[in-house]
Amino acid sequence: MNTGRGFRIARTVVLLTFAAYFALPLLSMADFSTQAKGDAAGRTLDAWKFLIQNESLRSAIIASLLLAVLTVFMMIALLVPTMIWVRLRVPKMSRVVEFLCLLPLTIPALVIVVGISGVYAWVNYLIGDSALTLAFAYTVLVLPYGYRSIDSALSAIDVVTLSEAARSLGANWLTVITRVVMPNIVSGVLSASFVAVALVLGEYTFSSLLHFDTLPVALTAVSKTNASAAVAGSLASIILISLLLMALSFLSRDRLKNSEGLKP
Amino acid sequence: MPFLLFLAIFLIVPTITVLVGSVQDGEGGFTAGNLRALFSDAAISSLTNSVILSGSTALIGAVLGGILAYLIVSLGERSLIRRATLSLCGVLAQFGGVTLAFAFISLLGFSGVMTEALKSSVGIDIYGSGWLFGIKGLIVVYVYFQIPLMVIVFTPALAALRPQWREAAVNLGATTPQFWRYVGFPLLTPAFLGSALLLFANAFAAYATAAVLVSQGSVITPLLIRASLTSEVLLGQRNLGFALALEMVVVVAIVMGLYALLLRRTSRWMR
Amino acid sequence: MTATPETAANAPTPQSERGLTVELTDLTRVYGSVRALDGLTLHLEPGELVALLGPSGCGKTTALRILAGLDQQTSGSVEVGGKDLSRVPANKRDMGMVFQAYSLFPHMTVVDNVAFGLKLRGQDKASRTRAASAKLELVGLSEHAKRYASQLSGGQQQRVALARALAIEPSVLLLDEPLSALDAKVRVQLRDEIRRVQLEVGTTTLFVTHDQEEALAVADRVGVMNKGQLEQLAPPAELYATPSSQFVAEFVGLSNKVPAVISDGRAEVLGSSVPLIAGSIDGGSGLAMVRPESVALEASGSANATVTSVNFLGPVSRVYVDVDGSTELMAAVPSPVAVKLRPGERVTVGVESTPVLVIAAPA
Repeated sequence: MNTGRGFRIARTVVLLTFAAYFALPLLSMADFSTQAKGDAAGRTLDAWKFLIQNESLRSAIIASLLLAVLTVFMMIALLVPTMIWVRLRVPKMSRVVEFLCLLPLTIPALVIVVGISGVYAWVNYLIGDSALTLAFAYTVLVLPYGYRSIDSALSAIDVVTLSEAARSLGANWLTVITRVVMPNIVSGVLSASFVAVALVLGEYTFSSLLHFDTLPVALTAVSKTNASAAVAGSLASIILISLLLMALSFLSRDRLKNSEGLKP
Repeated sequence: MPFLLFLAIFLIVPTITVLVGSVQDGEGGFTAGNLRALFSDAAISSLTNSVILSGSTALIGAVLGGILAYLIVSLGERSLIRRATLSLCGVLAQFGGVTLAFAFISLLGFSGVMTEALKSSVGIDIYGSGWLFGIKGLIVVYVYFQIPLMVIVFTPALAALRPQWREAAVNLGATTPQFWRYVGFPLLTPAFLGSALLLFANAFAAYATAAVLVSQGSVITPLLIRASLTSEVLLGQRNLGFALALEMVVVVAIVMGLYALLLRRTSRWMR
Repeated sequence: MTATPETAANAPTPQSERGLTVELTDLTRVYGSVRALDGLTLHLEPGELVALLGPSGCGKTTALRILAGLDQQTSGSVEVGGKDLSRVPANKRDMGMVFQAYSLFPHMTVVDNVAFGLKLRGQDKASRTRAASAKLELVGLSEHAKRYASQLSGGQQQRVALARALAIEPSVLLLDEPLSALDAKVRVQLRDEIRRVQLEVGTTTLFVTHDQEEALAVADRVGVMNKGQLEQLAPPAELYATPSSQFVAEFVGLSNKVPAVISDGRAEVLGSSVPLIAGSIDGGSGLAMVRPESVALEASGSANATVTSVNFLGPVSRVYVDVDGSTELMAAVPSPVAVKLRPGERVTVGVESTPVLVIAAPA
């Protein structure tokens, strides 16, 4: 009933308009970052090269990437055992855990930053003041997304039955977690990881207000003197994040196919 | 349990710090001065701007995003375009912060691509006096991630609209406008409003993009918080920052509470 | 005397308003390379319930949807009460449709659902509530009027759907596999309900299903469809007794195939000579399709078969026998007799003197 000819034409036109709207800033970033300086015509990759050659930018990039990896590990180490544990031993706590994990969605990052400087003074005193200490805060920010992914992965495989079966065959808890449950929730963990990386690479609120030099902070600083480099850096990170998130949606489609076989 | 400990240190403590700090003065004594300052001209004006920014981008995002969602749902579940669009929206909705700011600077900034193109071709100067770096600019930029967010949040509700309802309505005599009026819109309204609320909360709490575009000044509440944290001029205003943060939490909590209520209403129907 | 609303509602609907004739003529529907319907011609008498029976993909739902206006035929015509409906859109066809599932509007109460069609027709709230309540009483759900669809069971929801379709007093009632999504027990109860209501209201009805028992139980006539075409259209008893093709025979449950030889227009089967059903092969040898209840089984006599298993099903049992040298037969035997049979026992089987369909033996 919706497939009248007029409707289909209108739909195509509108979809193309949206596509153009969304593509525009991305294209302009590509264009802007490759424009030759001054009166010279043509394209140049100077801005892009600058990203790698400039020392502070380079170290910021590395810092952000390391932070991403660190955050992912912390998130997995913190969430996965806890969630499995809750499901197996204290299922009544699952509501509480869910609430706590989704809390960072309701408390804006800005608010957390405002209150966290005291905590961070203490952290920096104990552990030092590298940007990597941000991983603690980032893990909290990433919690809601990680929770959702891992929760739906755990739901799809009936953890309780699997672990009871494993235990009855003689496995201890560590074995259950690492060799029975984890392999089956890989795609959930992976998708949580990808979202975490995307979030960390773009995070600015915490890093700027706590005075750490991550990629977004460095880009903002460099934009005062070299706008093209700032734009190039932004485009680079958006490309990387897009690739990650595309991989994510491929994964989730595969997971759907695979879990058909796992469900009773 | 390490999990609870971790959350306690890095989430609960900061939140409590904010709550407590909002009623403290600089020396640790208790005062209502910060809360009173929330009603100062500066604070009210930035709150108003925040609400205008969030409300307008939520509205625009909801309507445009709703249209886009409707179009891709009409393509059917197996359509490649539909799936690609949903993935793309997933990417674009994350496209916040610094990258978005620079994207629009590269497009509409002083030497932006579109600025230059329009200047040289039709002689129009869209850069003007730099509206991009004020509230108008923020509105234009925020819409860019609000639309994809709307698509992601609203599409499930649209997809849950069963074809049998349409066919039954038609069979009983409904024209297309009648179907939408009596069946379609009533069923979609809670989800639509809920999604719009989510967009509002999203825009209200956003910081990074505004921080990059508006390097000075406190046109919206998050930026006022920035000022209270970093500015030497506002001495002793650190606790004001706490109060402002508390204000933000309250607003977002109210909006998210309403959202949760509407979500429950919808899920009752869409089974 | 002016007719008060009560008397008008209770007066029997004049025969002429009760149901119109339906003519589907040479209906064809092609999707790309698929011929969903291939020249279907069907005529429904006023007030008649015709069941379209067939496997999935046979075109029965397509035919129904074309009649409803939800789908467009590639060629052929649709007429109701003598009027050509080709140019009439679905929402103006005055037909009531019951879908397989999930068609009740979830945000409206039961009574609002039922009254919806009347609301669209501009009836005021009081009179349409009255009419809707009457229909709810007809299907026995009056006390659920203020509830929502999600609070009802599947069977109850379908009854509401039926009430809703009938509330607009349609000229044709369309049922698209209304029982397929329900539990077995509910299905049996509800199909009798539907038939009772249909007879009471007297609307011409097209009922689509893939369940042969359902079709045979409720219909005035049954049309068996296969690959977009109508294979046979006949009253249930006739369809069952004299299926016109192998497809139809198998669809109504004739699975027994026994070697037979044609001679003099009759079939020689298991030592008896029985009449032929039209549609059988002309001569030579073939396979006779014998109904389980037409198999005569005796524990005595010159045995020609061995019992392989006995399934007790209540009043009647199924006895499977291996006929010497050929096929396996299933006989429907009264349980008091069947219970005495043991696997391995030798018995004599023959056929009763009812007409059989003889088909060609596979090469």
